[in-house]
Amino acid sequence: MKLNIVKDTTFSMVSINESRLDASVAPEFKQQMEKIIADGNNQVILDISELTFMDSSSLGATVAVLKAMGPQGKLIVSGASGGVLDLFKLTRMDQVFTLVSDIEEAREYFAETV
Amino acid sequence: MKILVVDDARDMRMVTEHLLKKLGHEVSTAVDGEDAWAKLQEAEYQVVISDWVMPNLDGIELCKRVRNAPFERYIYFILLTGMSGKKNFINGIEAGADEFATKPADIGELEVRLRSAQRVLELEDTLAQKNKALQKAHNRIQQDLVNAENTQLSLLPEFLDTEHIRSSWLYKPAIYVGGDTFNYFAPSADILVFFSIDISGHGISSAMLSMSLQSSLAFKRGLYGSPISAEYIADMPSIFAGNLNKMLLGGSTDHYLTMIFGIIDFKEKELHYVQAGHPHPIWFDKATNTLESIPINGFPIGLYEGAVYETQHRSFSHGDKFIVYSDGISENESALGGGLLDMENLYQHFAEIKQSSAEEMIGEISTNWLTKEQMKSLPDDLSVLIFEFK
Repeated sequence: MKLNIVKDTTFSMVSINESRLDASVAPEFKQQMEKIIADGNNQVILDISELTFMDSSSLGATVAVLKAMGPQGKLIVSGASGGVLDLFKLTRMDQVFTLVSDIEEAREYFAETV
Repeated sequence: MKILVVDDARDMRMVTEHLLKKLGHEVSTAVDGEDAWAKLQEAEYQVVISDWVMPNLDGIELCKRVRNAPFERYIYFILLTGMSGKKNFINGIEAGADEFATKPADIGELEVRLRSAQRVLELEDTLAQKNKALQKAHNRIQQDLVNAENTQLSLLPEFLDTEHIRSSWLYKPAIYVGGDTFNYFAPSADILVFFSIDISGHGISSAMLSMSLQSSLAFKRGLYGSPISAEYIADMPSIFAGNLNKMLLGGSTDHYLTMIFGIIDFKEKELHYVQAGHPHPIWFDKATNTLESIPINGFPIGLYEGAVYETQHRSFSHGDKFIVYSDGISENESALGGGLLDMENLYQHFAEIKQSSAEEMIGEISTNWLTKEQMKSLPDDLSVLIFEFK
């Protein structure tokens, strides 16, 4: 499980450098994300464009991460596609998360609202 | 220790044997590698002290052979050598030698080498004992899981074949026990309640929650909001989903679930159901001979406080079929082709057999779509439930 974090002035961008996010890595993903949030990064773009597979456990972990952001936090999920995007839609999590198609769109989101 | 001394030179054998006996060890001798190999098959030795250059089979080859053989206990191998040089040393290590001793043997050196042999063999013994204990524990857990799988299977409902409906199903957990489950029950003659559930994750903790829900949901009547009778059932699925969502979020489990929960009204010939994050159900309409993947999305249960659920309604007539399944099937490549058994390809597979009976469909999935090998080691739990209206 490898997360890459790059800090910008108004947000932090966390990229998942994996193609699969499943039950075997979901707890680790959640733990690492919670640490990133606890370190003060609460304006986050989560880049999942490299993911080709996500299962129910990792969706659960991602929702837990969203909850951990707290009321002041903002989480933008960027680059969901194919089966991953289908999973967000099937479970209506596309209404719970702010989904954007790429990093550029995510940046705009922060530029407009911060 | 029981030691085998291997040397083609008789005098060297005798000297080494004499020294070792003086140190209190039990000693046998062999005249070359082949002779030693034969003796190793006959009795158990803890240490082999072998000359390097010998006819028939030399020390290096003997060592390699010992290392590749499945001896029950580790054999400590000391190569005796008059040779020096880095290359020989590396060859010896690569062949699996534990130690080198110079020739001719010297009692002080032998004593030290054998002391370290003793240490290594004791370590090996402890390790072997621990492995044995682990293996025993592993076997016990394995057996427990097999028993648990049987218990889980025994809780699943029998196939239905009543005047109104026929049902058939397939259930195969990824690792003995699974987080998938389903059940149905008839609170009265004209009504059938059913659910197909997939607990997030798989394995033991998912299976425990799935078993608990499987056997208790029929009795937790508080979740249904009102009596399960004709006047209430049209809205009941969404009410049930909302209540179950609250119950799960209020509990201490990290798991959530996806579900299709439905109530069939045989009198009105109507199906009411809620889709809670479960894969799109498939509907076969006999009158028009069409198969449809119903593209309805919904919040899972126990994941999100703000979830709102809607009941779907559908009229049915003779020969229609309703197919619900968990997402476990979509992680498998179809043996019939087309890649993974997910959305479009899965639909195509069902389209091929749309006119088959529920039971034939289940047979097709478990024997033709997936191979025996795939069924034995599924990446996720697999469950398919098919209703066929009469």
